[in-house]
Amino acid sequence: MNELIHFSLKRRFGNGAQILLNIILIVLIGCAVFADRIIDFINPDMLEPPTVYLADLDENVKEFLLSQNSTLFHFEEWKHQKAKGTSSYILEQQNTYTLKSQYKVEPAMKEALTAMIAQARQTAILNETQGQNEMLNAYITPITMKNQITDKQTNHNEQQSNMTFMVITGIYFMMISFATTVANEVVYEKATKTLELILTSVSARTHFISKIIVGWLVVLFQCLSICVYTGFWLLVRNFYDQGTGLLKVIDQLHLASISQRTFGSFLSSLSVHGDLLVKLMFVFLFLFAGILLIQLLMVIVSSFISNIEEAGNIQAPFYIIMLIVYYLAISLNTPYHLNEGIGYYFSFIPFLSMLFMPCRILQGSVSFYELGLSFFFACSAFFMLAKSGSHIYQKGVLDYSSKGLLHILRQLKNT
Amino acid sequence: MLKVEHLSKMYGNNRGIHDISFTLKPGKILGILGSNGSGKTTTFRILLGLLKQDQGMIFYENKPIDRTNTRLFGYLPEERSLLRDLRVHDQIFYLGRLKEMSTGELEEQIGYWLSYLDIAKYRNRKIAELSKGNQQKVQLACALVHQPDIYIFDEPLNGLDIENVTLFQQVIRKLQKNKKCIMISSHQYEVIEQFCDSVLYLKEGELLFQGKISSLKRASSSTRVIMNDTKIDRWIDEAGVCDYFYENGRLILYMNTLPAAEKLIRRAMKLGLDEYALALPSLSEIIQERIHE
Repeated sequence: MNELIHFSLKRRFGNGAQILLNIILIVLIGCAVFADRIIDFINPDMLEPPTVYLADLDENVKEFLLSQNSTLFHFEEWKHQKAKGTSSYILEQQNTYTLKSQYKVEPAMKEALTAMIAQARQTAILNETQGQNEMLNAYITPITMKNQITDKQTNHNEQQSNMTFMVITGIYFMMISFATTVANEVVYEKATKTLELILTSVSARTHFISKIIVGWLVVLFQCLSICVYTGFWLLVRNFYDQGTGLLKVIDQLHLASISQRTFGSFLSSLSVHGDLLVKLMFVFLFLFAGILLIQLLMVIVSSFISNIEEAGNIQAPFYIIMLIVYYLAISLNTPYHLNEGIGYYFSFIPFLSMLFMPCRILQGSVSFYELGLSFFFACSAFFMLAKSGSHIYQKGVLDYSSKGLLHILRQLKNT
Repeated sequence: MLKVEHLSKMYGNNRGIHDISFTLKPGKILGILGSNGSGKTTTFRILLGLLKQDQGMIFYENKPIDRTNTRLFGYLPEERSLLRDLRVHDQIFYLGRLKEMSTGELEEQIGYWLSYLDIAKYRNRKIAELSKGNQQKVQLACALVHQPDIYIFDEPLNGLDIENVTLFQQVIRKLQKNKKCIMISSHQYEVIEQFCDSVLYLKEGELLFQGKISSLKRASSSTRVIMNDTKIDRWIDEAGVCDYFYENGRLILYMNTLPAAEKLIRRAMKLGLDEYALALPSLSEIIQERIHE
């Protein structure tokens, strides 16, 4: 078995394409970490908010807008100067408000500007009618609404929500990347008829187990390498400017709502403690368990496939299933669904738990008992599938007759 | 000695093979023959441990075959089973390591067989870059490198030119001299006749016949006596004459046994005929005869 694993890993990681890919990855991660410097070099104005020149406006509105410290717009008085860049606008008032721009303005931007103008007018009226009419004051006072959460356990905030979304999406893409990694190896060995020769030296069961181990090691090595590369670049960035530029550009690009401006303050805001680290460890455990489960399933199905063309045909439905699970996880990513609704139950079902349980962990609403139970179910499913899959694999791996998905499902059922 | 007793295998309701038995002694070469779908591959797969038989036993050296001994069998499959993007050395090395050979021993054997098979210059070339014949030699090297006791060669001469056929013959003779058990399967009966001591013929999963080639020829009714005597009356009533015909001024008599043919030859000598010959049937003729019986 050692030789099988060693050979597989050597072929996978010891080839020119893989080395080139790693170099590209290092460069890409470096570019991502220093994105703000690159954007500054290419187009310094890209991250700046668009300039809105105020021309022929009511003085109260003009004064209000000029006093705003908005991240969406930069307001300037229009003195017939040349407009800065193609994304700047000119706002003027005749009978209605007119926003002149070179290109069509996004509806969201237009609505934001409209809201600001409305607020400016309300403020002006408030100032005029101050104390004169209480009811009028009450109605034109801008409305603010706070959300008071009664469940103290669910310390839900937007940052956690965004992080959960990023983690779910990351997990999903890892799932589809790694799902067929090893399965395609089996198909290739079968298509080249080398599998028969290999099986004269090792048993089908040994071959099967070696593929599962290779699959796991591939995921581990690739995740570790990405972590190492990212860690390296973040360290470099930290030495450069404590991460100020990177955090700022993430905020400016609305990738995440980050108010902190250094890595240190950002990490402090995450309230990293022992509990969280354990839960994060469980997130990764669930992730790996889920990927292993999918890989195992794909290897078993692939044992019935004789060529690469069939592989695409039969593996495609799995991608669709994973996509459905992904959208389910996104749509059920709310405290209610994860604590009481269907998301709660999904977090205990193997295969689904790899997405739903990390969501619950990141929302901070799961006990260690539930974690342990869900992990136990996931591991049990894995071992049961591995045990029965070994028999199915032995039958399918030397069968070269062409068949479709339905036939394979029938074979699995009969076995 | 390899001994196979009453081997049977069913594929669902379809019969793979039924009640196949044979013995193969060290230093002997057995030809496994049969039409497509006759059960040759099934037999090989069971011997190699790729399939489990439904009935029957396989013995080696009077003991049930030990499947943990990965070096017992050397197998040359009919279809190319090589990873085309690997280099020649790496391919043989990989398969040798799977046979639990040590690195030192393996390197020594790789060097030896690459030289012997005249493909040492391709050692660091990718398999995809080689000709079909050289790929076949690489495949052969994979079967030889771990020095097994039992060899199974399925269509071994695929893609080999006349020079390499001779080389393969040398390999077979070398293995025979080293007292190895060898099985060859081929549709080229002249190859089987050239290499094998005995044959077995499968038809629709059943063993149709088996035996030493020489014995089969002796018992064949396709033995012919050829002479330049056109007087058929002298010969037609002789014991053992099944049939006759004329060709190019010669009389060809079909005899039902070799001894009868030998008797006829002796009579021809006594009669002073200046042209007479004994023509033993080819393996192909024997098989045709047996199939139609």
